[in-house]
Amino acid sequence: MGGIKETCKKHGKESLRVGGKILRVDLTSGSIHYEKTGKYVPRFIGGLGIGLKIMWDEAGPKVKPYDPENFLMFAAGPLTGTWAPSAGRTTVISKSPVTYPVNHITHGSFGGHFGAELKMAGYDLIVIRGKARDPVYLSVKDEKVYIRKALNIWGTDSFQAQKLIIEREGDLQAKCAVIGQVGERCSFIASIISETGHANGQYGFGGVMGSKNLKGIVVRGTGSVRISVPYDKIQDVYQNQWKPLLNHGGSVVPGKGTWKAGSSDICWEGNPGRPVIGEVKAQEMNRTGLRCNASFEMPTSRYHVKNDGCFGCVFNCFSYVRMEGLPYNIPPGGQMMCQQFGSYFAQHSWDFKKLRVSGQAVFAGKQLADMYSVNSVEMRNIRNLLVYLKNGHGKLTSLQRKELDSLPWETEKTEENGLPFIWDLTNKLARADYREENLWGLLSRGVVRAACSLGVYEDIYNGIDPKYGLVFTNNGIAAHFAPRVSPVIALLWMMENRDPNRHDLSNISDCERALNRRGEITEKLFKYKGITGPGETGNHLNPGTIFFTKWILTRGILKNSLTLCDWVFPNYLSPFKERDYCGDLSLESKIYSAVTGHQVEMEELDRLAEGIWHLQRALTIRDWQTRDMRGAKGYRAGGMGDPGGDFRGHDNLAALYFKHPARFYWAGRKYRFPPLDRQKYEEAKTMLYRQMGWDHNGAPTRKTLESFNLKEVADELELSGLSGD
Amino acid sequence: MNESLPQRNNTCSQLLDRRAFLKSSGLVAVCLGVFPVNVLAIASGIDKKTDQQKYAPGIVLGNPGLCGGCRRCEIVCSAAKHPEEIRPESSLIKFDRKRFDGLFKLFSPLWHPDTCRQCKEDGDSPWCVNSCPTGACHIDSKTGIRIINQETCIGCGSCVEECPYQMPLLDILASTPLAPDGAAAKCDLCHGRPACVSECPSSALKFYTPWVSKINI
Ligand code: SF4
Ligand code: SF4
Ligand code: SF4
Repeated sequence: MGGIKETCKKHGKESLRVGGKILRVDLTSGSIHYEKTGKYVPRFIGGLGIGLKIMWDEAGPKVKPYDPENFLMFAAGPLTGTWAPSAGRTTVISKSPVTYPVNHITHGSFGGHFGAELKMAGYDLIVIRGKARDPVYLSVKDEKVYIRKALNIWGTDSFQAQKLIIEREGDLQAKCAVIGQVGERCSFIASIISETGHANGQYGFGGVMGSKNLKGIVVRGTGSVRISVPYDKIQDVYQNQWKPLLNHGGSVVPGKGTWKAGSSDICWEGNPGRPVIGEVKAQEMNRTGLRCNASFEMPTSRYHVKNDGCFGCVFNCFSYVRMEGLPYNIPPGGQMMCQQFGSYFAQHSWDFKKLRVSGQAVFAGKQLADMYSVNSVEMRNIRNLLVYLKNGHGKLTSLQRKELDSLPWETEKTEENGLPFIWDLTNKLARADYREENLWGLLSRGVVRAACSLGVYEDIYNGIDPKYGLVFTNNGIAAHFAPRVSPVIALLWMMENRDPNRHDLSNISDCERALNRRGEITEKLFKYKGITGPGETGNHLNPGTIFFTKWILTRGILKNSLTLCDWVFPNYLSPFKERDYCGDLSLESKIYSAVTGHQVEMEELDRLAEGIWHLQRALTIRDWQTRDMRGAKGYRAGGMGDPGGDFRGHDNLAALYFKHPARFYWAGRKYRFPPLDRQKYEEAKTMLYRQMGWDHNGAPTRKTLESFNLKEVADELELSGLSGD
Repeated sequence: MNESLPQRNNTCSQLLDRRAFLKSSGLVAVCLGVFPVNVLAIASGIDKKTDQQKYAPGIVLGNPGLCGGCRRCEIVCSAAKHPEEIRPESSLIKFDRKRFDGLFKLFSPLWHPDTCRQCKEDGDSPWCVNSCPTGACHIDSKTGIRIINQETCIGCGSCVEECPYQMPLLDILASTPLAPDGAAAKCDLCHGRPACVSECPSSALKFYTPWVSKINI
């Protein structure tokens, strides 16, 4: 049995207490040992917090992403595997091969049931280091941990690999996180896949896994997660006060949604029973999981079989799609999310009616991306970059041109499929070697590095025709949402060292718009005017937007530490008129207190999260080896596979956002937003740094770090001359 | 893994066979229908007037057409029985344990929780009750619910073995002097107010009570 057997005080019975352990695996030596989580909590909360602390202590700036010394961590948090809604997520932490221009430590996460299973097996984190000589997978079954040979599994796609691993383990309840062929090739754009659609897509952690010769991890836990306040004591509060509020995440206003999911005519057309879901009212606690529908309005909505949820979720926002008769033996069924349609966004436009491809191609493209474990959001950028190159741009060698022409371009534009194109492209990426200079090798380094090598980076940086839809952050991460739409998004794009997207802003503004109360609810919650006001553009910077940016950054860290889902928390809005549609921002701390027994108020928990955010900032500074995060001066690139050259600092945006207006379609409407004002943004950064307690260039000062109990971080930064003034 | 815990005897190959069978019989399509076929099958064989006394007051059934697989039913079932821990393994509603394709949510959307059928009194059925050597597993005389008295259970595992649906389990969290490795546990319909049903966010669980007159809730 997993975990420590102990005697329950109340019942005098033998009981199981699990969690509380960190599993450390060194693939080079094959050594496996355990560490108590206690020394990191509650200071670092759990999940991401602990991962970043281990990174700070043990992974210096010299460690390269594919060095055996790099860590790969799968982290669960204090709420993972409990009754807390959406507590099924796993946070992944490592040094990313794809971030640009510097390979820095960052984090992503994925849903499904892996994280909860990890907790049941008795672990809060799996920390992997080293490199196996032959392909292996890691098998964790409660306290039994083995590194097993994976020779016959290597080379399979991620679906097949999970099947083979589970069959070999002989336990149908086991949960896997694996890579497919693209991960095995150590591509910088490889993802980690669990089930058929839960992906840690961005950051290239699949490539890190491949570099360690680690095909997958399989976890099975039969223990329990102990909760501090017994469920029967908290049940009433949870059921009657918290859950009715939480049923409102994901920007769905019952009956008034800008999202179709709230309207009366939604039907699961791919389901033989063809259930008509209809409007889900606020009080209908037993139907909250029917309302989200990732396939809505997409070309695949006709094939939506049912909703799919992660462990403990109350929304079940994934879409299970089934399409018979796909070519190339692509499996007919799989889970998908809105972003996994990515491979087919030819334009930076969410006007699905204008998409030129069929539902079949969209879904097959998603299946291929997940099977081969390639980041589907990056696939969109790759495809768009290829179209740009095909139109005669860039400096390609004649061989590269030939490679470009060898794609089945005649199918790229056809309404009917477009599928041969994506099939060919994915297969080429699955055979590519990132060390080579051919087109596929360059693309395996991610779009930004490829664009540099092919001589189109400056074009893209300064703005090309938006119809190409190439969108990535200053850190080289394929992104969604647009900075020119809101100053909060623009600032998040500058500050984050990962995919800057959090759903906070869109959740609020979608609901406020639907309720015709723009700006009012955020004003009530935060006492700031104009965070989400009407007529807002990227240049409406004010103290409220600065505050809210910091809030989102901190709460983002909190979600990945506890682990909770970005689509469910924080609880900004409620469906109830009596509450004036306001949610409860302290739900995380209330649930955390009930589950862990560590009584904290909202402010205290937020402060712990803020400490972790400073730690992450310090890590970024250490990896970048500069304290000039503002990036006024140029920065010399030095990451893996870099073509060299001068680039702009970390807290920055591509020049195009300051030069050109944004024009796009969303949900059938046309939008235009003016370019951002560079001067205003320099001032905004100053304001934000001040709020954070950082210096003029965005480096945390000793005083700030010490006030967050991070003296050791301040000391080390000072030694390397990286401390803020 | 504790040796005394029931070993699942579904091997992958068996399950794969079953999938092949289901495919050929077209059951895949039927199973996804909104109205669970198993309810129909159970209901159609019943002559309410004469047989009423032989049935439990109700039955919880999962609908594969709606179930999103969030396992909140397992979470609350485990919490209802052991409020201080969450242990899906101790849950008496078993999400996707007898899956059709042998793999967790891979390749098939048929996932849904399996529930105790509260079997009719008829020959050896209910198997759990009739196989119990101590009478711990019994039919509650007031409510008719098939139920286990964990104080008198000796943890022999007969019910676990005999139930054709593999619903009872030896629950390590419920160890008693008589059954130190865990007394048997099975769904007791939460004495008429099933926690799993009220928690399901997808209306995929229903408490069917055609004979509800037998129970005073
Ligand atoms: S709670 Fe409902 S939707 Fe979730 S697994 Fe159970 S039956 Fe399925
Ligand atoms: S435990 Fe098994 S045999 Fe007993 S009533 Fe339930 S389904 Fe029937
Ligand atoms: S009715 Fe109660 S005991 Fe039975 S499965 Fe549901 S929650 Fe568990």
